[in-house]
Amino acid sequence: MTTGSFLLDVAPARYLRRIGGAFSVGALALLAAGCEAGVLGPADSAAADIWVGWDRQSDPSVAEYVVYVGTDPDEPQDAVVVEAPTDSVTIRGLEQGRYYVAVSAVSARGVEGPLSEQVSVDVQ
Amino acid sequence: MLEVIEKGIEKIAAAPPCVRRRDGTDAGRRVVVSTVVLGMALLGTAIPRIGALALSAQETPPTTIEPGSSWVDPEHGHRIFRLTGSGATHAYSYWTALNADNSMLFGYTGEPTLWDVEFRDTTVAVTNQRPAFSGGVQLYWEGFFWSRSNPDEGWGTLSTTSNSRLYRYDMATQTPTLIKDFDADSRFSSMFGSGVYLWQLQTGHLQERFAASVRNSSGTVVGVVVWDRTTDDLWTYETPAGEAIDEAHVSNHERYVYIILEGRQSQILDLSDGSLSPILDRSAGHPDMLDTEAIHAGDNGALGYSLVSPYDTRTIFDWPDRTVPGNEHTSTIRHGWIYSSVYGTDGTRDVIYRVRPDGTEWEILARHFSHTGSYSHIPFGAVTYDGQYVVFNSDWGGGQVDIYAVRAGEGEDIPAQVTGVEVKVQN
Repeated sequence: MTTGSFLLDVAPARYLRRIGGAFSVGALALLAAGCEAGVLGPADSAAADIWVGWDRQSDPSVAEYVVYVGTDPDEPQDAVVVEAPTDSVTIRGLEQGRYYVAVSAVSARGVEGPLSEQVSVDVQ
Repeated sequence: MLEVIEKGIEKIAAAPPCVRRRDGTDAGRRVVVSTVVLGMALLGTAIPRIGALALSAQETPPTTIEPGSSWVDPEHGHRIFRLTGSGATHAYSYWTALNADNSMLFGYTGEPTLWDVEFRDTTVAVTNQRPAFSGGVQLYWEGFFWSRSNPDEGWGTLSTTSNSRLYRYDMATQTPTLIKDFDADSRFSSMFGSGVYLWQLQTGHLQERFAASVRNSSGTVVGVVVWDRTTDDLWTYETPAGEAIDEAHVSNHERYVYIILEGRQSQILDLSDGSLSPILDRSAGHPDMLDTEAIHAGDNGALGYSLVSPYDTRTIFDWPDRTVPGNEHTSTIRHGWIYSSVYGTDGTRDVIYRVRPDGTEWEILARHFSHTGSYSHIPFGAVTYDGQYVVFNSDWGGGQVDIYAVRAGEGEDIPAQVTGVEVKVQN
């Protein structure tokens, strides 16, 4: 497993919450434990970043957003959780390919709303 | 879309940024507990409503709901919509009557039937009633699964007594696509022969592995087939001599298949190695699945049966009054709740309720007002994929059976769909 090839950055600067341990998905890999806010490790020079933004919800019960990312349009493999009212995240270190992104909101009681429309992006 | 149950949201204050896979194999129960604990922590206290169970026997409904209109049950505070008005039923709790975005209703009016649906605040437009399968390929009504991700699509088995075929069906364009002809697969035919057909299709949250009962020409269930549409792996289970199979369920992440046998210990098929294990004798009624647990809810409470350690069971909650015999139930699980529709022989438990998987909190959503004198009058409460509505059948006090929906989201903090998603490549 290659660690540190997948980076996250949050705007505005707020922390993300850890929701898992170390794992790898295809060419992507990371080690969740011990990462600093916004940076998981050195980026692969051949990789690219994507910025994901969405409309911030006015509902005060929304505590988090979950950004699903993956190369399979039917089942995004990875999820990034950001704390509301954050409304964007930068995901670094993506290798070449088509990625599918969708976002959901999660209430303070942990209830997840429906997924947004799926958006695809080609990373060259 | 995965549920909160699978999400694994562990609240670790000021934790660093990380990512996770969506298919953690044992995240389900552990996560649910952490989610509930979170809710309790944020609210200061949990909101256990156990104790408010002094339900009186069901009486005549206080009002009639006209088709397309709604009514808020003053006792329980949730809005009930009437979806149909000329007689219809939906299939069962496992098969969501509404599609992925709640824009189409799949039911039965003497034939599989489809409607367009648009929920508003206090009304619901249900229009364009039409045959669900208008082309040459007819699928079984019972066992039709809406896709969790594509609102137009679903899966079903061929409505026949002589062929075993699985289709993907585009309901918007009425286009069937054959994705598996089991008769042409020797792994299937060598076990079951020819002239058999599939019945009561089931799948998990990934909708990659499908299980179905296999019936012979006389309708006897001769076994179960499980098939993975992504790998073409196939598993078969033959009904033991002298036994009968009720149905087979697939766990959320589709590792386990719960084969319910009538009159003897049911079996757990572990698809990771093909092993079989007996599971503790079930309670009455029908289960729904978590990742590693089967939930039987409604029959005097809710019980969890471990799929990993098949003799482990737990009580999620009990109805305090266990004197009422003859309860049936259905149950479905979405967004951190187990939903169940129940009825009692004296009408005291004719309700749709939900309970947290750890039993710390529960709520009655509505009385269903169905006089369950016949099988078709059983409410079969089915929660939608987004957790917003529980669709149920009701004769509403003893009349014609129609399809209703109670808005589960009302009073609950289910966030709205996120809009305006934009993705840009940097560098």
